[in-house]
Amino acid sequence: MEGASGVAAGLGFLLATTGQEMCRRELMVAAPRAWLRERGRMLTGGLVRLWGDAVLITATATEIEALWALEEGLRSGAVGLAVGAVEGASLLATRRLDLAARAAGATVVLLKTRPPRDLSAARRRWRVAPHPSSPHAFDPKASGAPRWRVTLERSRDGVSGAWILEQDLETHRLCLAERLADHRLDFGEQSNNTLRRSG
Amino acid sequence: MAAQPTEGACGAFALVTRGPRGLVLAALNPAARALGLRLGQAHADACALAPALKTEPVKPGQAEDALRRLALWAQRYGPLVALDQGFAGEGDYLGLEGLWIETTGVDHLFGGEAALLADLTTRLARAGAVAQVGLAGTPGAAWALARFARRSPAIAPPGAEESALARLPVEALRLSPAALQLLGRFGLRRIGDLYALPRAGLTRRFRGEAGMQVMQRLDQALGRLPEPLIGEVAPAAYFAHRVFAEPILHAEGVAQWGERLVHELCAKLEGEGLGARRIVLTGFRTDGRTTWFSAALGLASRDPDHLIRLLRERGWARLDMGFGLDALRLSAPTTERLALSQNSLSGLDVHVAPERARYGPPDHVRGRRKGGEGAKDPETHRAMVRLIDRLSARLGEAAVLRPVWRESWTPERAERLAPYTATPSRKAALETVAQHRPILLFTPPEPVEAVAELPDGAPARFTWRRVSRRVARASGPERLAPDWWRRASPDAQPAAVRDYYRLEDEDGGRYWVFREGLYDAPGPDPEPHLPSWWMHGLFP
Repeated sequence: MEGASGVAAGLGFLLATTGQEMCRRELMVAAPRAWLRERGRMLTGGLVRLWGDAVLITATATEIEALWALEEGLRSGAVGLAVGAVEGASLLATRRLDLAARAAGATVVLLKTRPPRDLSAARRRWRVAPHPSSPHAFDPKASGAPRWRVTLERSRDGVSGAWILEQDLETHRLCLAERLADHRLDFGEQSNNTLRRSG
Repeated sequence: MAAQPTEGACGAFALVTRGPRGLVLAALNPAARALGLRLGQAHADACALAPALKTEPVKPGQAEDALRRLALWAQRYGPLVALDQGFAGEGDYLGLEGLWIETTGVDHLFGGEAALLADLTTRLARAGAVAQVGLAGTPGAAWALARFARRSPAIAPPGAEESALARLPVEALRLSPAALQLLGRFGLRRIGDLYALPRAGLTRRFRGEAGMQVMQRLDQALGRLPEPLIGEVAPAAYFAHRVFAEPILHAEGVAQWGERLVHELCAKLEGEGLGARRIVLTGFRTDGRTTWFSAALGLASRDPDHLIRLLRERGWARLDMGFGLDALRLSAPTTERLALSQNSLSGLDVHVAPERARYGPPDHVRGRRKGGEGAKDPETHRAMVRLIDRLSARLGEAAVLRPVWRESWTPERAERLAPYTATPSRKAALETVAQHRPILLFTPPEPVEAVAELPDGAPARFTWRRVSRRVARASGPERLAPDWWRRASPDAQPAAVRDYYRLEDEDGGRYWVFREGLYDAPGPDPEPHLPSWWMHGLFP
């Protein structure tokens, strides 16, 4: 599956799950400039319904700088959710982020489009892929509410699972999509967009 | 103070410039002057007189730049340093350029006026600049003493400018050639000759501009008329300064002393109830140059830890130390009133609240978050501003971005990313369409090869980034007209109309694709103008 639409699905899922709880603090995105060029930049028109529109976007030259910016953001105490587009974060870097996030009571998420090679200190690892959307109520040709195929691959709590989730366009809540016969969960060759979440 | 760079003790050297009749000499070194050459002489004549004369063409602005660098360096002797361009026109160097340093109230720090001037001359000589120095109560008198006194440094005792200037030639009054000629006709050669003459008679005799100038310059030199100096750099009201016996050679030394200076500066600011909005760390190099960097603050602050952290993020090593720094100064050129405010009743948690923030949340955010659940507390906002300060200091202000909105239907124009430090914008009234906008936007849009079933319909298949996708569902079009009021010229073709489609492929990827142009659009050429397809964004 193409990574580009996977990133969009991951962002959508991420903001749907964290939007309500973190609203009192800022959303921060740190990404290398090359990433923003290739994957597209965040448009708050798309984010606005999930999040307030005060977003801090840090466009860095390298991934190392992006990691540094994330850690600064978490340690400052002003950031409720920090999203980093960092492919190659070492175990040490993720552990630092984890500690900073725990100290600040914030959440940090690393977006990855390739299967991770290194170990990670992440609390949870989600894999998100787009899924054909629900039928539109009035137009059979149009796409309806977005659906994602979400797998919790790793979790410190020991829980894991796979779901097809649908986002309600009115309330932005997530709910389980109806299980139709052709929605067999078969993840072998599908998404390579992985989401790590810690904190 | 008048300074001239030396060209070593070698032979005669001159700078030449293009005059009305060929090359003329524009600047001479002492050796050339000793050979009898003078300014404005033709280059050919000079070469005949002194065959060994070496010349170089004048580079425009170079002398001024050097003088300006010296002015920055000379700030260590006084808060206000003004450039004196001499009376040179363009490309005309009379060798009268110099600097004015306001040393009022500073001399005792150096152990007296004589010690200050001695320190100044030694340091300049060490840096390879020969300087003549004069010190007096008025800029005019100091100018005269620096250039025409018998020995340097020349100091006029307080209030004794009149006697100190009496023996100097009238040229020392900074007069135009016309005025000098006039005085020469009357046989007035020394400044002292003017004292005895009755003022009324002088004014009557020296009518016109030249005559007025004589009286004005005399009064300015003697302190009867004010003469304000305009500093090269606006003097910072608050600074901490430290001179070192041994030059600092490493960034560690700068860090160590810089932190002490921060504490000193913060103590001064606290005493005045102010906070810094910008701090500048200036290093004075042993070779007579300065090196500096600055850090901006979004919220006025006098917290030493925060300022030290900002300077550290900026990097102490940004100072180009050359052969060492012999003085270091931390100044706060921009300050703001900063009142103490108490946030909690325990009394331990006292914070400092500024009057206004440079980057507060935009108005619409304030409006939306007003009241209950979303309201941000001031503590979070303060932490945010500090975070932005730190990020901007380390990554540059262009790396820390926030969305700004504009009234436009073109998506990439409607919402742009701008540096956080810029003033926040109001959100455009397009919020109703916001939920039909993608979450990721490609700027610029990427080309797509699309096949549509109908010329005006949605694509049935498209290829983007070399992957072909079959469209399972599509909705649209949403037609967005270009901003007709933005056109390069009235005759220019307006930008093409865009038809946006929301597509979903078989795997569930959701795309925002647009067709630019219409099939039957009239083009300049008879060939039918085919519209093009573009990928503009992705939906979650």
